[in-house]
Amino acid sequence: MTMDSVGVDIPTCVSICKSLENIVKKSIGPNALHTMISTATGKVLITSDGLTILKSLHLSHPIGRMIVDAVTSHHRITGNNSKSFILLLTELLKQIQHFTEKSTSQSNFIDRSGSRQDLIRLAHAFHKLQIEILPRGIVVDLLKSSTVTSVNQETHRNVKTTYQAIITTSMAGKLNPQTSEIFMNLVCDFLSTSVKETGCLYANLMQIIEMFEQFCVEVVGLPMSESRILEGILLQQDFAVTEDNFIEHSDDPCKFILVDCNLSEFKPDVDSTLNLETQSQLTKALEFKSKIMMRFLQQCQSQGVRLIVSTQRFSEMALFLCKKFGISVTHCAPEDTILHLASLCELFPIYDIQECLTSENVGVAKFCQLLTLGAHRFIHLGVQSEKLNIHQIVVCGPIHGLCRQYYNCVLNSVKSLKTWLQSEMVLRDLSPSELSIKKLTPGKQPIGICIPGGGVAEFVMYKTLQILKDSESDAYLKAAYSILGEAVLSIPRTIHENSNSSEYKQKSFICRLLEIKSLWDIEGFAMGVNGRNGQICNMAELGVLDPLVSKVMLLNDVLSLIQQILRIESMISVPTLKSSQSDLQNL
Amino acid sequence: MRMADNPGITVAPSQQSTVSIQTLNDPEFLHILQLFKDIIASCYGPRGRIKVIQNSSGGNVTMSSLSSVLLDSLSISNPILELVKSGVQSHLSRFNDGGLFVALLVSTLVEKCVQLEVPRTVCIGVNTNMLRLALDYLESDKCDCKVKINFSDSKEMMNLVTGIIGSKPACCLLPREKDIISSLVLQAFLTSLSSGSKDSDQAIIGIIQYIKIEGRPVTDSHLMSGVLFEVPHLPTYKCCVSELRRCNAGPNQGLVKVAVYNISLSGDSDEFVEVQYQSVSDMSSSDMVVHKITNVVEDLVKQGIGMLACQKVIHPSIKKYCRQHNVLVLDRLSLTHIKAVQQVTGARLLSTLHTSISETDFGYLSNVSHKVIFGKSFLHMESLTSNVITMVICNRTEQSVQELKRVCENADVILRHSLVNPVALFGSGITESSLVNHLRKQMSALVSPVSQELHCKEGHFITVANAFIECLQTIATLASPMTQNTDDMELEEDCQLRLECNKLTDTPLDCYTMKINALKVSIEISNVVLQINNFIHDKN
Repeated sequence: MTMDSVGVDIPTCVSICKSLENIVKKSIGPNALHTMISTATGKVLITSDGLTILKSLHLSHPIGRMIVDAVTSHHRITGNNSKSFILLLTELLKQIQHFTEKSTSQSNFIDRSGSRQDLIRLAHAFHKLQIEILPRGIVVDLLKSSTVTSVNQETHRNVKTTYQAIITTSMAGKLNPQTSEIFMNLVCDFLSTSVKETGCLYANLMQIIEMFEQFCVEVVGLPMSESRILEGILLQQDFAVTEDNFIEHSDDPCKFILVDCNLSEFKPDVDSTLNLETQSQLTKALEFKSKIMMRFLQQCQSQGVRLIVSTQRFSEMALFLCKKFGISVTHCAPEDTILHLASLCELFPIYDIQECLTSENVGVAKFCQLLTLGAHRFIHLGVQSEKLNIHQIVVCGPIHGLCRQYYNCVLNSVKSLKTWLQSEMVLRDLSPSELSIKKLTPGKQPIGICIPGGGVAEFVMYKTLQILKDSESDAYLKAAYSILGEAVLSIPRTIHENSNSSEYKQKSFICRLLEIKSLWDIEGFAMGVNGRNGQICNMAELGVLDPLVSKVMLLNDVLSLIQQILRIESMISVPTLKSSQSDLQNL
Repeated sequence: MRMADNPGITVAPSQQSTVSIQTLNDPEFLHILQLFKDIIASCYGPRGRIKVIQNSSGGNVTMSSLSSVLLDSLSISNPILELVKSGVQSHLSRFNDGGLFVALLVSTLVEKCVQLEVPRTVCIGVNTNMLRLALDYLESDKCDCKVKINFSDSKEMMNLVTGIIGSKPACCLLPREKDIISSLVLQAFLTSLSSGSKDSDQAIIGIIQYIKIEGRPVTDSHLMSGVLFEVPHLPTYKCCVSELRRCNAGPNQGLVKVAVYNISLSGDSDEFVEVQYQSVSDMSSSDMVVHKITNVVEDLVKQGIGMLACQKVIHPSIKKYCRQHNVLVLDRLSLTHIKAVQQVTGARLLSTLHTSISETDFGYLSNVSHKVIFGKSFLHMESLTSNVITMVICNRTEQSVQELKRVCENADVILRHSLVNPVALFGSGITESSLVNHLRKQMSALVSPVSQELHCKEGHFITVANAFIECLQTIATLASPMTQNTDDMELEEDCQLRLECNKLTDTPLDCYTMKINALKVSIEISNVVLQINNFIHDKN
């Protein structure tokens, strides 16, 4: 066996990207179709989320994997744009292929080293574009078309309408309009009830995203329209036992403790042997557990504890004793839930029941009720926190795969809001004079910047790159401008292609482009393609808004990847070594 | 997706997923969908037929027309049907009824929409709008196929039960038998309900237990209050339970006092501290535990118990002791029976030997007797306060008694749902017909606003909306008791006529909450299916 070295050329990359593009292309824009993913174990997921689709392919080609990895890291931050990523990359590679073919035919190079040199120089040009042009020239032009919203208590109304539009845009491609409206309202209600101070929106969003699975509960088996916002949090288990008059007291404040140890198991830390001499010692060994437990429960009772939430399973005896002491129990709670509860209420969970119970262990909930949703029973605990009005989004769907889809959608829309507020990332490279376009001052005031969707950002970039191209003398940089300029148009083109009305389909995208160009002088840069009907309209008025940061990051990440790809020369495949003797000899 | 055609690149042997595009228009898929629809449609309604299910290696034969049974036993490999199946099952997990309706509506709607020359996103939009229109109608007061259930009107309640029992051929019921079973189900439900506590306004719903007896006519089915527990070791020719100790004073005078344990009383205990033990003399832990149990039981006997029940095993010596003191011992009740025994006695489950047992931990029975029912020995536990009912279901064959039990359970679930929202819709296709009628009339008003909202042609809207209405029409025809050859118009006129003349006193009823949920779930699932473009099978 020998090692294998395989050259990587642009056509290979293009063919890989094309096949990826084919899979995700129909899922772009508000008329997106979905992909159904089924696994060998029979799990089903329906999604139009680019990353989920790409990941489920389990590509084996190294270049394919590299692309998916790049999309993954991009998606992790922005929660969006993975399909645009593929589209942009494919178009870039196609244009590059076109460029190299042209230059090879012009200079009559026969060997491939010439075009290899071309690629390296092109990579340099892209590097320059990414480092110098993107953060300054392009961002400034994009900023001109963007809307800047300062986020504080006074601008509360304005902030809310803007984030409504961003959430709607984020969901548009992933759910059908009626469903997306329901979930958009849900997320908006969730944010407006949860966030106490608008100025803290960003901090709160970060907290919510970090523990998102605790803020959003999936309930399978109910129609989607049953989704709702609930105050407090839901524990996903039923009660193991309840106190006798539980129902009558369910609206009263309820003291609870969190337990992360087994109530009825006392194992010494080391292997131990008990030496028994008399019968009474054996009796003591038998009674030990119940004695310890009763002592603990007496403490609970004296503190007024009415509910124990435990990660460990309680034994029958433990449950019986709790009931006897008038304490409700829910056990087998996930550890994350306990930690989440502990951090929200600033409590210490109990790790050893032989310790003393202090007031720092006891939390107070506004209420503690049993909630039945569909065929599931939950414990609804009205916990409160200083920083946040604690609410949960309950996402319902008739089957698991759908619920998951809705859940991901809600999560991505919240992530998209987060990127909206990360304006620092694009503003940090700008000079004060450039900032003054939008009357911004350097500093850390919380602001969100968004730009109309439907291809507006792409048209602006196209225009900017065209101007740059015309004034550039370096051939490769000129080529890079022109390649990127053409490539960004692939996004509005696809949105246009996917729009459903056949009446407008007869008009090709080129006509649309001309139409838009002619409108630049009259309307400014606010016109884009309406993804539903393919018409040209003012996207800001339509309420389609994307965070500016995600657009810039998309371009940045794609440019990094393209440079990497251009620099790849060959792949070395290392054969798997088998341990058998004969194979070793062959080597 | 394979990239193997790029020379020299080794494809890793694991993992790569298969991708197929446009599965919905695939003739093979359409064929499978058609097949699935036919299976469901032939089970639906009063003319529904039984399906016999057996695996290819000749296993157990199941006969049923229930969607829950059918879907459980059909092994579906097509992912889209798998999706439909899980949607139906999630509906069933809540209502136990209306599964066929969901399956039928989804499969007909998807089949129709796929074959239309209309963009799928438009289909989805139109379906959602039509659903909203239908729901608005059903929720409004104008809806004339809606009735408020009067729980004191036995006729109406019977219609609700017959709505479920009436269309299940695998139960093999004659018309008279249907009435008997329906009234038993209703009686059981009402009894379990009415015996809740009198001072609070909250109704406590009791448990209904089912005992299946095969080989007896349906007319032998009957209800018994309390719990029947099969005891095969008691002979069938002689009554074996002698007079038990009863409380001779206090408020519970004349009742049998019961203690119920859910831990083993045979000598093992998981209450020992988990360390190794070493002893000098020959001490036995199990002897010690048995001794402890004996002490506890002696105490219980002193407190006057007449029966000792245990989920697990009771040590023979304890049993002997109890028998000597005229205390009935019942062990190995297992998880399935312990709940009912606990409920019927009202006792608290005791789980440790180390606490004092207070008076509130005991339960009481009014009578315990040995009953022989159709050649089987049962222990019959009755109580004055509890609300546990046992329904003895008889039918001629094993299959039919099994099906009958399922149907009775389903009917009970539906009755409970009606308790929460006491509204019902007319069955036998009348609701569907009236919906069809309403949608036809109201559709024209929607044409221009909805097609503008969806940015589609008006013609497209009309095509899809008609397809939606046709689907409901198909279901209405299947559900109607009229003969197959009646044409749609006639059927509709008939329904309309009956609605207008209030000739609906004998029409079976459907639970309102169930029907609404079924409609919502069906449209949601159909829309999801219609939005699928690619299909990726992940082999990992």
